[in-house]
Amino acid sequence: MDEDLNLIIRIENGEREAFNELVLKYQKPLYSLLYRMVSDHDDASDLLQKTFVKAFTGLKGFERRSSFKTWLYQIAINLAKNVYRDRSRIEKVPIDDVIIRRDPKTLETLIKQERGLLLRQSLAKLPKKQRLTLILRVQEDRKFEEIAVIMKCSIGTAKANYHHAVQKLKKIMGENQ
Amino acid sequence: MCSNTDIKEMLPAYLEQRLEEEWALQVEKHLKTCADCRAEIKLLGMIISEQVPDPGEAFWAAMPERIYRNVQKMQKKKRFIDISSLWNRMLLPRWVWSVAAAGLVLVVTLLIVKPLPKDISSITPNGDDAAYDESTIMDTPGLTELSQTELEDVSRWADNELAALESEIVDVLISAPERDIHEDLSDLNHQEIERLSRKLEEWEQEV
Repeated sequence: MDEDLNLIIRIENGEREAFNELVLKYQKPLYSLLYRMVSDHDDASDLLQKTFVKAFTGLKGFERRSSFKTWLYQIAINLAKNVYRDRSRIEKVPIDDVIIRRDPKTLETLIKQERGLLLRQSLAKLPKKQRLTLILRVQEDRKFEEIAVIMKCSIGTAKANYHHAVQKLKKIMGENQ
Repeated sequence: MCSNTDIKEMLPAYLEQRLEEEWALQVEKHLKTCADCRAEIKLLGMIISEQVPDPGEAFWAAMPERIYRNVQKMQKKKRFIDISSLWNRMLLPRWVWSVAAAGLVLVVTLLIVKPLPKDISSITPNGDDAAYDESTIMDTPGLTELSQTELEDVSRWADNELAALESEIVDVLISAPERDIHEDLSDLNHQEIERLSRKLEEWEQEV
């Protein structure tokens, strides 16, 4: 039997250890995904807790058609979408300020940090679905089949979203460099 | 722009060195000649290397307990909502109460305006002032069933009743000639009119 399903059965039987095991297994990857989506530790931490709480209080709703991990990602993405929706207010801090504040040591660090900031800003400019698809594909290393399940769309749409995201990002980055 | 989607799909895996050698060589070969894919792989490299700050071991260690407490809190809340929704389901909707209250007010008002008779015998003709209608007359016994004394009582009552009517009509005719007699006569029931006409005939003969 699937390891996660086994843990779920134990949780349903009231085994606290199984609960901890499942949280420990997924908290880090889930936090990374959420952080990449919302770019803020407090929001990512809050969403991480909400995702697990929603999953554990709604275990009866888990139909086991997809894996527990995919289901967990679905919940996380849906919750993050709400935060993301209110996030048109992306932090707009002048690049110079950020670099000075972060105490750059070398020119290489400066360039790297500037590129990182530029990338985050470019990612923020992408349409929501494209950004999420790109994060899942590149940073989370999900297959298009999985992305389609998580995003509740067809594989073709997932692929199209990914390619549009890459093209747009290339264009935005090119304009800014 | 490069349209080789097979290669493009393999780029993330190539970057993370997860591609089989055969496919990795194909990607490398393609990258040598395609500037678009080179730009893309540079971009993907940046995205992949974008670090997520680690909140620290204390954060991770406390997380299961924090989540467990929140789950328990949510389950308690859910149970409370379940109980309150069950209670709400047991209660009648507000509109039912409104309709019932309106009905009650209507019944009370009707009872005040037109109270029910306490005793059915109170609506049978009894004496000069007795109020009655056709239905009560229908229920009364036939004249043949009455004893001599009862017949005399009925006759006396009828005389009084008609005498009162007669005097009322005369008064009306004398004091208010402009009043329409037909309006007053329309208040009488069929039997009263018959009796009145009989009485008038007798009166005419006498005159």
